[in-house]
Amino acid sequence: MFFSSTPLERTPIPAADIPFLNRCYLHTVNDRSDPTLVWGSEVDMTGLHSFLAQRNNAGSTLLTTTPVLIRAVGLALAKHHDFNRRVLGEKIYRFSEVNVLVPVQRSQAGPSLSLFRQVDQRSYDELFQSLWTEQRGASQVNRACDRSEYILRRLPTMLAHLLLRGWLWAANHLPKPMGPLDRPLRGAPVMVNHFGFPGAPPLNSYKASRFGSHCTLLNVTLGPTMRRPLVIGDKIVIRPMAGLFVRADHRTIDAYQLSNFVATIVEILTQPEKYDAASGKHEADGSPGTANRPRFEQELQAV
Amino acid sequence: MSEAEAIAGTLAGYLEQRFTDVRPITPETDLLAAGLLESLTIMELLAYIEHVYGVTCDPSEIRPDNFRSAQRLAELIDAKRRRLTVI
Repeated sequence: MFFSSTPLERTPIPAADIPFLNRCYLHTVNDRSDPTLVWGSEVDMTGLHSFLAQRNNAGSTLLTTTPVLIRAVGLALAKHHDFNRRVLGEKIYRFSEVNVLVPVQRSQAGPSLSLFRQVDQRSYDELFQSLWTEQRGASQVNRACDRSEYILRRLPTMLAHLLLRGWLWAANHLPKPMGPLDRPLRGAPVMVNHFGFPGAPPLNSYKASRFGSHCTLLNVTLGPTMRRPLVIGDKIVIRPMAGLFVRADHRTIDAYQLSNFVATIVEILTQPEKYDAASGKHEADGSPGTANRPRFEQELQAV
Repeated sequence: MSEAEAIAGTLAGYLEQRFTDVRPITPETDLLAAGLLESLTIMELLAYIEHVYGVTCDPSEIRPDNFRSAQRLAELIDAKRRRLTVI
């Protein structure tokens, strides 16, 4: 009689019917406090669309928004060093490289994470080539995550949950990677999403979920492009605008730092032609070896 | 109708079904100018091509000239199926 009024069905959904990634969220330990900061902004995509059209009319690589976004986040990490960190236990570590994580869609259910290394030193073309290679790899079976998922699904449920929690505890407290599954998870401080696929509804606000691992507490998500009114000077103009949402960890940075980080990403996305590693178009360029260094890094050196 | 034209028609039909807010999509529609090709949609398109025609694209073949239109993409697919090199 106690359960007669519940709206739930009598039995829970079998664990085997729950996608692997959802089970990871379901069975991880919750924090007592929430150090999450979120900053939502928007980007005028006019410059980026123009840049992509010019490059695709003349270039040898089909360039899209995602590689530009990846490099923009990488350059922002390179400039704002405080964001290129992660928490291990109750200590904070710096990353020695500028890496990002990007979810790629597998042919099976659920995405997998791909690690892109040293993105601040790679051109848009190189990043697109890597993105395609990772996507092709994700569609193949017999990857490490597929094997792990296969094993987990065949273990008794309680044992599988214990293994997951133990794995995440190690990811959150031990500095060294432990295997192929851990390197993508621990190799970068940030996960980059682009939801700008045709048909996507407007993204007016977005807080990315947080996986049990504390590696990717920083998340940068660019939404779909929508034509919206924008005030420039004293005039109202119609521009293609996209939402930009950044989630960060208050244990490593504060809101003022977050605002500057977001502003840097917005600047790069607005004028991507100035920040390509291959283009060499840097205002302060002129010294040997500076062709591939970001503009603001050269300005710092000058100071 | 040549094989490439038939493939182009099929691809245009697939794209019209995929992007319901863009009409019409013909084999000659400039897919890049229409904003239909983003990273995710390119991957979906390539997965569709692999599933239907059994051909895969190398990273070097993901070029603007190959993806400019359904017709151009169909020529690439037809050539790969005939085991020719497309320049």
